[in-house]
Amino acid sequence: MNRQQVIKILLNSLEDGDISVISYDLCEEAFKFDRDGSFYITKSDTIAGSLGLGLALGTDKRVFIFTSDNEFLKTFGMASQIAVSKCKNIFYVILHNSVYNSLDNYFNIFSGITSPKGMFFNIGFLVHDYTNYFQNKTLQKSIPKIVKNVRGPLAILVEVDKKLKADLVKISYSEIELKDRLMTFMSNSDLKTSLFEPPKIFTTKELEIKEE
Amino acid sequence: MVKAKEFWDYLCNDLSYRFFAGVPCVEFKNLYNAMSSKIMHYIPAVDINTALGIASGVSITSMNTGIKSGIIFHSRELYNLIANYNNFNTLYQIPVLFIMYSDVDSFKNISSNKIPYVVLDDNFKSKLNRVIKKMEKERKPCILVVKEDVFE
Repeated sequence: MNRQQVIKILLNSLEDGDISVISYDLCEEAFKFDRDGSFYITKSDTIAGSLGLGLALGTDKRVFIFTSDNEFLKTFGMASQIAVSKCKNIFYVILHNSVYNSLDNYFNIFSGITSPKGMFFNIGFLVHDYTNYFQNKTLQKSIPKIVKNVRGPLAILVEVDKKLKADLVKISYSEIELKDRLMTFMSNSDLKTSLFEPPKIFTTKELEIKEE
Repeated sequence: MVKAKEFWDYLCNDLSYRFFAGVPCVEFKNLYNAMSSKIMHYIPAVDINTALGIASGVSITSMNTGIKSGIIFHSRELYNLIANYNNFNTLYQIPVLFIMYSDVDSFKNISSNKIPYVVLDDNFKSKLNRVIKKMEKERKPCILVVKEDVFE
């Protein structure tokens, strides 16, 4: 499936209070489906994952890091740092096609990894592979339900098309505006946080019924 | 000489810098030994860019948590850090305190990188205040340079 379509479906599946950190490779593809909780890394291609981990440590909102296989390969050590963090609110989404899209689809080594799922599992991630879900239209409809109930640290793998058929949109915010927007988003307590479930308070009447 | 415990107490309790990440550096042995999980949180990172990313993320959340962040490293890591310093922290104006060990030779190269810095000496409180003031004014990370045998 087209990478931009995958990004669209995944971003639309997120809850209102979720944060999405979009890596350098995917910025202009993802900006078409911009949401308040999205943060774009416009110049650096090695910091998205660790920044996401920092955000996840400092907030109870769910943090989804969207990255390509190129960026994952560059920052393999950082991926293991996310896995061992045991943060329940961090999700590492890798859209892999085993090529460098910016280099006329010159191949990278991702396809040479014997078992990417096994590799992520062994470094400490829970692993979901949604490739089949995106190929089947009936299964595709269940993606939002699945994403709603996931717990981290989770690696979500999706194989996408090698050809980039994307409608690229230039990011209309400055970097400082992006940061301010994220800070405002995080401090908005009206938005439901995904992890904190307040303990259920029973009324006296309910308690009486329970005792019976 | 600066007592490492007093340094942490002032930095964590008085200045609210309670989150640190870093790459292990043997010259900071005294500083590591004086860390206390009661007042701070330290994450040993796999590399310096990961440490910077984590500290930057925590720095963005500081508006809600009130916890400020820093990274601890040896000056030889500085060159790996420059790209993200320029293309991320400076661009997005995300301040992170850099606590950097520097021997005499590598200290000469720091000024060529155009990163603002303050050298730590016995009067550590005023130096810490100065570096933090500088960071708030310039809205980007600044270095607290620690030379040999400063901590006891």
